[in-house]
Amino acid sequence: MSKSAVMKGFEDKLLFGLGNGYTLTWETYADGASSGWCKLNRASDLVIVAGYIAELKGRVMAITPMINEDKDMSKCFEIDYHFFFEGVDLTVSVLVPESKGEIESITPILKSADWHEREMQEFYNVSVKGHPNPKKLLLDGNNNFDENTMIPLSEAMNGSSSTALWEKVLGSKNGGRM
Amino acid sequence: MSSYKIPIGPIHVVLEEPIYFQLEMEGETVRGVDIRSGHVHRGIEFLAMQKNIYQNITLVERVCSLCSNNHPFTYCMAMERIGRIKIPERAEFLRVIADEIKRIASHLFNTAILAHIIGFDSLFMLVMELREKIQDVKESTYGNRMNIAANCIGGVRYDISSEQAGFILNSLQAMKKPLEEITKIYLHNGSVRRRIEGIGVLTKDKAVEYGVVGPVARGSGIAYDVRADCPYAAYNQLSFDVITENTGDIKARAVVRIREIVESISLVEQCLKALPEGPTCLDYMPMIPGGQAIAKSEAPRGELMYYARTNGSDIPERLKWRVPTYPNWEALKIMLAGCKLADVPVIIGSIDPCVSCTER
Repeated sequence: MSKSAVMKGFEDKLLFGLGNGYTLTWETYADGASSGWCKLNRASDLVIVAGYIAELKGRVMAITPMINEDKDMSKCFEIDYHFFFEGVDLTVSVLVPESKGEIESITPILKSADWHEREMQEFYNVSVKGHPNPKKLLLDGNNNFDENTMIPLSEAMNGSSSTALWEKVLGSKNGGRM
Repeated sequence: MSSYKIPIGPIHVVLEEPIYFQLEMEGETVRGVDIRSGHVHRGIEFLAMQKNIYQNITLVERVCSLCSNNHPFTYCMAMERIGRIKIPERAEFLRVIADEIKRIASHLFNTAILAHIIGFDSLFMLVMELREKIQDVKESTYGNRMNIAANCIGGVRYDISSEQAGFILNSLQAMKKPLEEITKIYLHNGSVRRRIEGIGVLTKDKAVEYGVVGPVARGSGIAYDVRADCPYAAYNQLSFDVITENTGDIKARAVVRIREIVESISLVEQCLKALPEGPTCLDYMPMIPGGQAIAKSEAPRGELMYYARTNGSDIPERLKWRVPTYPNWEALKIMLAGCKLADVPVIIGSIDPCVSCTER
């Protein structure tokens, strides 16, 4: 199926499922590549869009959260979901009020959203409701030390576990005497 | 049978970079895996939003070393798309040459590392010796063996003379025969096959479900390659095959990489033959207006994606990148489930993981 047919088919699905609850534009760059930009009026509709992407065997390429303002100039999170399906890039944007700070997880629908949602939750404090494994991803300072199985890298590397090397260096400087 | 846990990492002889796996074992068999990352998170994405658009070219090249060229390449593409900038045709070809040279070096590195992990160190040395040829090409062409600083917004920062082209072609020619020998070893040698055949299987269905990319996806039969599916630079003017295998095991991923080296050599040869005359970059420093764009390229480990949003100032409003290893980690849980403990390192190595990229 050509890309234009895929784009048209997806637009039809959105229109059927969301009515006028979205805007969608397709942009073609100077080098011939193209991207779709979609804005949802209701963040809760994201789950429906994720379902369409899953039907097309698509995936989440990335999720970009950022701080923005909504039409009432209130502080909010803008969350951009970058999807890829049948050769087409599509970014779906939703706004989440900062005071709410919560969005439904799409990981149960699209497994490829898993780490992206965990990262968003960790870096931007957007709670992802219904995520199957909502643990910290990158910033958990104690992630290795909960079962006394690990030696901190700083200890392993600075020689603090043994004085053998230092004594050897001192010994060689003093002609073998310590 | 009682179960127990075994930690691997974050510092371990089979891991090139720090990451931690907690394996749930039943006898010798892996029953579950918990992956914990974050040991080398540097906050580069945040830093990129404090630097100006031109400083970021240097910064993003330092996200990773093996696929370092793809980061500034894709970043520049994103900025050029926002600025509606058309770069000179010669630069499009030179970008492909830089990218394919880096791909050859990266794939050879993983081919060598796999041999090392399975204890075949003479093969490791054979592959690394071959890799030195492409490292010499990098050093002589770009003045550096890892971060080659080839890209700028509006083109490239290097050119290739006819003498240099001759050296590159001779070096690539000299790689072909040893590469055939390495391919034969990976395909037919009993010691290698026993460690990589039918092990760490990721089926096509699971590969689609987990959204894996690069040689991991192509080893599971997904014929997706950004160079062919969403062509950029000069790739739509060049001829190459998207290499796929269907078995989804370690061998499939290794063979995809080795065969892609052959394709990369051919791509560089085609580029040098068809290299158009003309400038290599714009003769001015373009201003980037407000806007947003997505750019993608096929890094050695798979699809690399950059999203950039600008507001007309010289600091990007938002910059986000998703590296190819990022979606591949979770699929390790499928590949490792039910395997023997001794196979864990080679399965991890087979996805050619890049922790520096993942954690940024």
